[in-house]
Amino acid sequence: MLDIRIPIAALFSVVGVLLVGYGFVVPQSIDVPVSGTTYTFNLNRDWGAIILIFGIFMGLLVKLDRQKPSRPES
Amino acid sequence: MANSAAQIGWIDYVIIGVYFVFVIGVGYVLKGKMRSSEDFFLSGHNIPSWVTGLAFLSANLGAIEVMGMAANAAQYGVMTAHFYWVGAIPAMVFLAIFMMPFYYGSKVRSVPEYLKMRFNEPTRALNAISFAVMTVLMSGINLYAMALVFKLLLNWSIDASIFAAAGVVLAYTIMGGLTSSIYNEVMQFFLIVFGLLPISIIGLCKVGGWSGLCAHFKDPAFAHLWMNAGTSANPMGVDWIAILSGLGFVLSFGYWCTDFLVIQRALAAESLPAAQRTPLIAAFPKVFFPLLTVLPGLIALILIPELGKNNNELSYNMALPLLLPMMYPSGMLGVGLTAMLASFMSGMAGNVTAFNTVWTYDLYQSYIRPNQSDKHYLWMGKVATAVGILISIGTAYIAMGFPSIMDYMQNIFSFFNAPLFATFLLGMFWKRATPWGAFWGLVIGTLTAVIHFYVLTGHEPFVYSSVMAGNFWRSTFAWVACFVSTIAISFVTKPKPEEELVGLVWGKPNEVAATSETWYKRPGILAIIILAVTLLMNVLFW
Repeated sequence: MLDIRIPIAALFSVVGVLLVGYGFVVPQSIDVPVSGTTYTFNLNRDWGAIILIFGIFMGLLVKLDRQKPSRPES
Repeated sequence: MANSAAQIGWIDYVIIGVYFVFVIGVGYVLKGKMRSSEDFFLSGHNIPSWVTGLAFLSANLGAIEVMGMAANAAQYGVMTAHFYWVGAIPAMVFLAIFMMPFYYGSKVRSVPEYLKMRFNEPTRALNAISFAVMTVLMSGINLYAMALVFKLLLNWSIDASIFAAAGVVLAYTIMGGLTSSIYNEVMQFFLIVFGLLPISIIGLCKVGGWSGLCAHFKDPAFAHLWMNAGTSANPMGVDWIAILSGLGFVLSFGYWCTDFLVIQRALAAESLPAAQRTPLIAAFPKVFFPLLTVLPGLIALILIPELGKNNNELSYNMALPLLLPMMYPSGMLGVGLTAMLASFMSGMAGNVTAFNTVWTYDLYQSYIRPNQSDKHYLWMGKVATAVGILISIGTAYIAMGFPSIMDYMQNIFSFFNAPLFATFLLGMFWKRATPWGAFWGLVIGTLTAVIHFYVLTGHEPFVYSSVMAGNFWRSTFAWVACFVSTIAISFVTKPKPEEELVGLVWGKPNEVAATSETWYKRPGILAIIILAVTLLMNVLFW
């Protein structure tokens, strides 16, 4: 059976790369006030990076599992 | 809404397109694995518990959950979280610990099939028919809600949205069956988290944090769960008795412990402990889901002062969709829209896969064409998938005719799920409950709900301060009617011989080999942890 982590890793990596790339090419900032100070974020770039890291993390889990001699019961 | 529509850009369409490619791709990869009807309808009992757990949660994350809870929060305040901390978690724990051993241990393929084994064919047929009708109706409502959001937000054609989403769902469910639906539900879970979480974070900062948010409420009761629940003079119009009996007991246990849509995900697990862990694994994210649904509803109430002023683009149902273009630039807007699309499509696919199983196993195989080959039933499952989706398109157009979809659906649940839980409770925990007691109890319970709604509601003493209060009380009356009449009729009718009840009722267990699990996988320990966290949330937001 297909390991569900593979399409998750691929989908979130692709979406993460698209967002980060778009964030760099077309920078759009949002202002977020926190305790009287306003912070400025490039949401596409920053949240895209988090999505990309999640995609890579899922891919690493699949790779680590495949290196084990036998997979224990989930 | 012209400004909102103007914000969507090519990158957003690319992200939505990438999602479509992946969901159909998953169905295509799984197509070759669907060799038997068990593969198609039950995923070959081969799915690990973290996957079935997230699918169990996501199958419920359709239009009504995602849009409806944000809408309720904007309307009723923090009390909406009762739907999670009173109306879901305790029932999910009860299902895992007490009911799953009967469902999974008896090797039934569906909830109606359990009713046949425990009671008789008429009880099964009654439940199978009502469930099949309910699922296609729910499925259509997901389609309609999705089309409405995309029409109001992006000016997409309602017809095009309905047919495009139905086409994608048809493609991946007909190819990959339940497994495809489960896999897409897991992807949907992560999409919803990544697509909606920034709204809560950014929104909360914009309104000045939790204390700033509460300071904006004209009614201080909006910020509390229980403080004003001593009487019905609170935003929800429901007192603590109705919350605990109607929502916390009848509606919630009726849905989470008997609805085949969610239980089918647990039956796909690889073992009984994995099936027991399924609702518990789902309960952990569920306890924090108000962060993604209730909180945006509260934020929308502050940031969109006109919310609730009309029944179209500013209705409470639009609370969450309206926040997307307000908070997100093009790019993240695509992720947020994809999360909502995924939610609607998975909500629909979950209903369709439950429908095709109940139709094929409990109606077609039992009453129309018994004793056919497995290949024939696999073929029928695919036909039922296509027909279920076609009917869903029809019910989407029917749903357009109703002024309030949410209230209408709550009525349907109180008609069917509330009495059904009494049938299951007695069936699983009282071996004297008889087949005809169960059948007539179910009929009387359902009729009680129908009479309460169409005849009694609005006349003293059945006058309620909100539609929701009426739903909670109707559910309680229907449950009591079913419970009492099943007991009464059982005393005057013949019970099943005890040897036929092995593995189906409390006190007649199946011989199950003892399994040794590490502590964090034991259902009992997981249940205690999740109940403690839920209790803590009730205290924190008292």
